[in-house]
Amino acid sequence: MAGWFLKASNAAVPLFVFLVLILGWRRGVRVYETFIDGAKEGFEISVRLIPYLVGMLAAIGALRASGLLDFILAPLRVPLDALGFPVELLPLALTRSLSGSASFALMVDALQAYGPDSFLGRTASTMQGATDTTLYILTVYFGSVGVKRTRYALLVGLLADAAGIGTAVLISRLVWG
Amino acid sequence: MLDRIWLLFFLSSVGFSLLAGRPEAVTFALLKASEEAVQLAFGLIGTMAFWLGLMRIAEEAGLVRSLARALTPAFRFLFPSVPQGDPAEGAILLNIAANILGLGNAATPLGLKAIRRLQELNPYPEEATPAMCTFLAINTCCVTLVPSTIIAARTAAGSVEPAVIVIPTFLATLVATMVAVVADRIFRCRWGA
Repeated sequence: MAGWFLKASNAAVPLFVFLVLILGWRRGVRVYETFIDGAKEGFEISVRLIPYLVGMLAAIGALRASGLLDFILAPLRVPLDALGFPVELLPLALTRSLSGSASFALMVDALQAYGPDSFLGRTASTMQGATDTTLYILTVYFGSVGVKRTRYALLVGLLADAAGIGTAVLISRLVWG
Repeated sequence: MLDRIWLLFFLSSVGFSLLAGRPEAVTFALLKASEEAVQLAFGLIGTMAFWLGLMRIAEEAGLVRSLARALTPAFRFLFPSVPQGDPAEGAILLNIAANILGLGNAATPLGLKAIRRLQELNPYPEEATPAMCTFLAINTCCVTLVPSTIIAARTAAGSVEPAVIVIPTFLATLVATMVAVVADRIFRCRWGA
């Protein structure tokens, strides 16, 4: 099963590229010019991330280097291990619904601390992608139209986040052990 | 809220490191993390540029529209309270399609248009309607075909297989979305009108 997953995942990107290019060609898009036009945004988007990444990675770096993070997580290791949940990724799981930039930085921190191809690195990546930032989305959308009583929207969003993160851990365990 | 958390991170780290007698570790970590943040952001540029270029082709070729059309049958089931052919229908479907394709920049304006229209249909403007809750439930965990930013970050961090997470991520978002839709439906009935 792990082998199949790996092959299919690795094939997904080239297949998608192929499909988009065929579709663009068949529908008369000037593919190269359009590509260049879109690619110009890559620089701007990446550079715009810098202040968020500096702020968040510095905060997380301080938390880790001071020993406080280990101090807090150590007593949780046994109960979370029993559930199969990697304790190192608890901060990521807890911030995922609150802030996209904080959880992205925590994922990057995990990639750097444990390696992007390690079990923890892969699980962190899957967790980050498993759901979106519920709090941000509700604030922006409800705020834009002035809705004040949001009923059960937050509850449903958080339930879905928990389901996404749980599934991310479960699949990671099944595929990468 | 994030303001408080950030402040708490720093104050507690510095306090703890002083108590534990290793403030120099924090100094080093702060400087190193700041430097790594910039390196990482620069490492993202290439992959992001490629992906945004490709997705611009997808947009021009009408992939968002095709996907939105393919999702139409699900719309009646998900949003029974939105009148057939209402402008909200197009905006919601296009928003979901753009989200599935990972086109966040295109998805947000469409989503804002959708919720403005839903608000016009709302008899009590201060309170969310069931259709709004369903729309945002799907938005908070939307199915993702290709998590491009994550692949870019993995590449920047030196991964030899940055894309191995594509199918696991897709499945996790699928489960999250199904849970969102089911939970939304259960709460909608329980909550009362």
